[in-house]
Amino acid sequence: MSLIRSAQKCQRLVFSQPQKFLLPLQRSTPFSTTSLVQAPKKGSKKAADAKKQLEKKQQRREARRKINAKKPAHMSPLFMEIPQALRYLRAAETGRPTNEAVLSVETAIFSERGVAPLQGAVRFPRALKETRICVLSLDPVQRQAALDAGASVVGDSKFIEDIANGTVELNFDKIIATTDIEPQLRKVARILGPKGLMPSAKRGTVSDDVAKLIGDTLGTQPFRERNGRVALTVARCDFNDEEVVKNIISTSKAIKESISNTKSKKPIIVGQTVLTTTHGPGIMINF
Amino acid sequence: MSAAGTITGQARVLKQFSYLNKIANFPNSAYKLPQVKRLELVFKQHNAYGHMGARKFWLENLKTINFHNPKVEIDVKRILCETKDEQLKCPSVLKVYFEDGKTQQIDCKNKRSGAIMEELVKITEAEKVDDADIPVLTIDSFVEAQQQTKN
Repeated sequence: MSLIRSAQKCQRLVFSQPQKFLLPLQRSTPFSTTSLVQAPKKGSKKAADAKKQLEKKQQRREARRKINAKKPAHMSPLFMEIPQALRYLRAAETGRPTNEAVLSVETAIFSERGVAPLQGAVRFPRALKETRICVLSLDPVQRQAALDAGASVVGDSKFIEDIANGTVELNFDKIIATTDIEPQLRKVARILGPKGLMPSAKRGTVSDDVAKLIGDTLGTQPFRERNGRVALTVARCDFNDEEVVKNIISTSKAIKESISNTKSKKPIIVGQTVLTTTHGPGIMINF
Repeated sequence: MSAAGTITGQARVLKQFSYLNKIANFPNSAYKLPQVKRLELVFKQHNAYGHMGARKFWLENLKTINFHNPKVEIDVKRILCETKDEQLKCPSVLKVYFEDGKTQQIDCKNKRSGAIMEELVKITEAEKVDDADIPVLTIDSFVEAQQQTKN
């Protein structure tokens, strides 16, 4: 204690002395230099605040959307039973050509960041349009089987030459090939490739069990999550109510199945679903 | 208690309601057409030379007619005319096909959509739909329905 006190006294003495008695400080280490550092850029405080608030606003909106997604659909003022909704939607689509007036479904999906986007395919009880499948094979038995399964056109190596010459109209949605004919297809890859028709084992369009493959792809519609939503065309306006409802139910099942197949730590939430037409209003439905 | 402020995103909801109500009940067009089998409307793609009435009739009145007569087939054909001569020649016509096989035509050129509607009602002897059968969506009715389900 006494030591500290005496030190304090000394200090007082030093400072009370006139300046000329103070010795200049001696440096024991030499000077060092550092590279130039620029002072941080000063943006205006207003802009920074606005940015922060925008972020907060987005977070709040996201949270609100999540809460809303958990509410049952019939709590929403935009909710309707499907038959009633269809009455309005068909009226909104009056006098439009049938291929233009289509009903589509849009579902919000809430998943954690980093979870792979949902994807899958729906098999509709009533398909929107006929899918045209072409089957190429050297084996006549396979070709007959393909025709029985529902392929619209079958062909062998002569057909490939026709494609190369441009004499065949390529109005197919899919071309399936068997393994024996695959090497011959390389010369038409430049024609089929850009149209997305080129058969390849990777895409699952080269197989020896043609009949099964056709059965899997006929009447299916692929879907994929984009921007937190799954949207796909479900029916045409000239379908009757029962057909539309059946198609919607099969879509719902397919989406739930693909959710159960996707790996995620937290459960993926299916949000509100909107039924709409090309020109009509969006109406919330039970999904 | 007034219903105002009880719904989030009210502006969006009101917009939707007014749109749907316009489909269900466009002024002077909620009629039942029991004698009609099919309606066919033919007009030009461009508005000029008296074809605007037919277009408005399609976009406004026909929606309501479809809403109350789901079984009546409605076809709309719009013709693209490139030269002026073609445009002047192109007819603007509403063809009415009756259940008993007769047909009648309404010339829509240089007429307003309301006038076309009146003529259609006169020709087909249409019956006005009861007010009770026309659904009207309002926020008040929605709030009431919600409270009833709660009780």
